[in-house]
This record gives sequence, C-alpha cells and structure tokens, in this order.
Amino acid sequence: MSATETTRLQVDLDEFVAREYPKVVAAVGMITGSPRDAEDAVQDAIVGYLANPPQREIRNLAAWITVVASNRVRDVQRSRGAESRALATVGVSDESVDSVVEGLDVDVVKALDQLPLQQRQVCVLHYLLDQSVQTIAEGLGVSEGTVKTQLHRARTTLARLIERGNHRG
Amino acid sequence: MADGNNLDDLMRRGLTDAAQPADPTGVADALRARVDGGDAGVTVSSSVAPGWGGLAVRSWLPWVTVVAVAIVGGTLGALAFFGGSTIESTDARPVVVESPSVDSQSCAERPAAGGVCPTSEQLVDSPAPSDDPSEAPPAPETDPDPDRAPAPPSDTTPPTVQQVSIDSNPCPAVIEAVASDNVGVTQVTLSWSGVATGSAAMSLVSGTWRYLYDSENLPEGTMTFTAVARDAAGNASGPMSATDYVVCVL
Repeated sequence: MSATETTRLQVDLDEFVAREYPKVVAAVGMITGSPRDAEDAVQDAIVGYLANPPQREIRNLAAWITVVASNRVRDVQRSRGAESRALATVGVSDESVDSVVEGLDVDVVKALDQLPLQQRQVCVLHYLLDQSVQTIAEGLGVSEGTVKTQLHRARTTLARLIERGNHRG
Repeated sequence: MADGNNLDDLMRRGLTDAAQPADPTGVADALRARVDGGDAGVTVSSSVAPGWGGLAVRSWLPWVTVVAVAIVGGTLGALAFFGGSTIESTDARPVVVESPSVDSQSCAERPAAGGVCPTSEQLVDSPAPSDDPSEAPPAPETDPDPDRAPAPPSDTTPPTVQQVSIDSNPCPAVIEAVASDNVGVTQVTLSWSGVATGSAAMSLVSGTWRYLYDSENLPEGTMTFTAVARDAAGNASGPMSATDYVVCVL
C-alpha cells in the first residue's frame, strides 16, 4: 500500500463511507452473527488501515476491511467467551454471549453461522456484497483457487444444512 | 439437496433480507478525528483469548522439532551452536536447547535418586567440581611442533541475507528469507516486532529459510520481520527486514 493510495482513501473517505460502509457493516454483522459489534469493528479496521496502511496494495478495500473487522469481532467474541466461562464458574450468566445471530432469525443465516469463519467471509462477500471470485481473490491477496475451494465447501455444507432445515420444517 | 442455482438465489435473498446496513452519517468525520488523534485502530489485538492452551503447544512445536532433529541426527555441531542458548518469544515460554554435554536421560533419572539436575547454563558456565584427580580438567594443549605451518585462517566472512518476503494473508502467514555464505548458512533467526514481538529459528525448506507465523491465533496488524543469518564459524549477517500488514484471511 503506497502513501499515495492511503492519501487517496483519506481524500475519498467520505465516498467510501457513503457507498461501502453500510454494506461492509452489514457483511461483518452477518459473518460474525453480532451486528452490534460489527460497526465498531469496521470503524476500527478503517482507522487501522489509515493509521498503519498495509504495504501490499489493497485492490478491494471493502473485502479487506470486511475480513479484518470480522476477525476483530471474532477476537472480541473469544474474549467474551472466556469471560463468560469464568463468570459461569461463579454462577453469573452473561446473555450477551448467547446473542449470536442476534436479530437474524433467517434459515440461511442460521446455516451460514455453522460454517467456519473463512467460509462465512467468502460467502458473505460473494452473496451479500455481490463480489466475484476473482474480485474476492484480488481483494484478499489469495489465489482464485483458494476462494473457489472455500466457496465450494461452503455451498456444499449450506445445501445440506438448508435441506435438513426444510425437512424438519 | 438444493441445486446450485436455487442455493445461490436463496443465499443472496436470505442474506440481503437479513442484512442490517449501518447509517454512515457522520462516520467519516469521526474516523478522521480518530486518526488525527493518534488512534491506531485494529493494531492492538486481543486475538488470544485467555485459556487457549492450544496456542502454547503450537508455538512450541517448531522448537520441539528442532531439538528432535538435532538429537536424532547426532549433529553435535548444530547442538554446540545452540548450546545452552535461550530464544524467547512473547507467545511461549523460553525454550532452552540443552548443551550436547548434557545426558538428558541420565539427568532425568537423577532426581529420582535424590540428585539435582543442573540447568544448562550451570553446565555451560560452571563445570561441576570433582574430588577425583583422574577427572581433573586436562592441561592446556601445547603445540608439539612449533615449526609446523600455521593452520589456515578460520572463516571470517559473514553470511548475507539477500531478501525477506512476507506472504501476509494465508493462515499461517509465510515468512521466507534468502541467505548465502561462502561456506554455508547454518541458522537464520527471525525476529518480529509491531503488534507482537518475538523471535524464532527459521527452517530450511528447498533452499529457502522459512517460518510460519500463526496469524490465526497471534495478533494481526502491521509487523516487521527481521532475519539474521549465521554460519558455522559464528559469523552473523547484518539484519534484513520486511514489513507488511499480517492478517489471517484464508
């Protein structure tokens, strides 16, 4: 990431926030199942990007911010999980830990929540942000084959989970 | 099972319906204020939740491998090079590679017999005293033939590290270094700083020195990796560094 590009984002920050930010927050909320943590994490990721820009060129900033922010929420959730386990040992419940898929009572979202994090990230970038495999690969700095593999695995699992849900319903 | 097209449509519709877009009003100004105020954003990470023991095990694995390979191969030279040295990482306890003079098996048996195992530092720095004259340390060697031609000069040429590269997105991130020496590089030590600090020995894989940084569980953010190569004579190269934003993506 060059200084010029960082400057460009600083200049275009308004446009990025207006166009991409709402979708990216939604995507992170979807990936993590925690919409209320998503907005803080996305803002942290953007600030981190501006304050310590990566050397590698980020061609797809929305995808990059989505992944960094969702990883960030994962870290927070892990910490909360540990805190919750500690509280449980002294008989204190923490309902916030159970708020995964909070407000997202949709079958496909429940199915999505059962995928590994990286498959969730690819699925949401593909289905919600409508990004192609090539765009995702460029944005994340990985090969198209890697994205295809993750997406294929995710689709296989999703099909099975949704099918099972339909039979139960 | 849902066919491909139906599944794609279902996912697009379901995720779009459930999405909760954020209100961007005032966000850009707030972000600028944070950056101007010196906020570093996600560079401070709490990736490792308390109680995740698996991390420590994984951090130990490369060192266990190094020790095992050295012992099995009987490479005393490599062990002598490591002898008693401690390499610390912020993510794992210090790992002491024992000197080759330590018989680990007999040492392990001594506590059961009431003895005490010395640390490797004690073994290296202070040889155990003995009352047996037959075990007295040997006298310094003298050259029996003073007219003999002098030994060839030892290797004084340090290795060089030509390149350090970071593949920052895989999990783990892959750090590679290219090093060379007139005789041969015996070790490349990698240290890192940024959102985390630590150091470790790199492994030689197909002519390239490599280290896998556990970006999935260790802090992610801007990292500088510095490699230093050494040869068998103990000559060390100058440091060679590379910096990138390390984040576990896929």
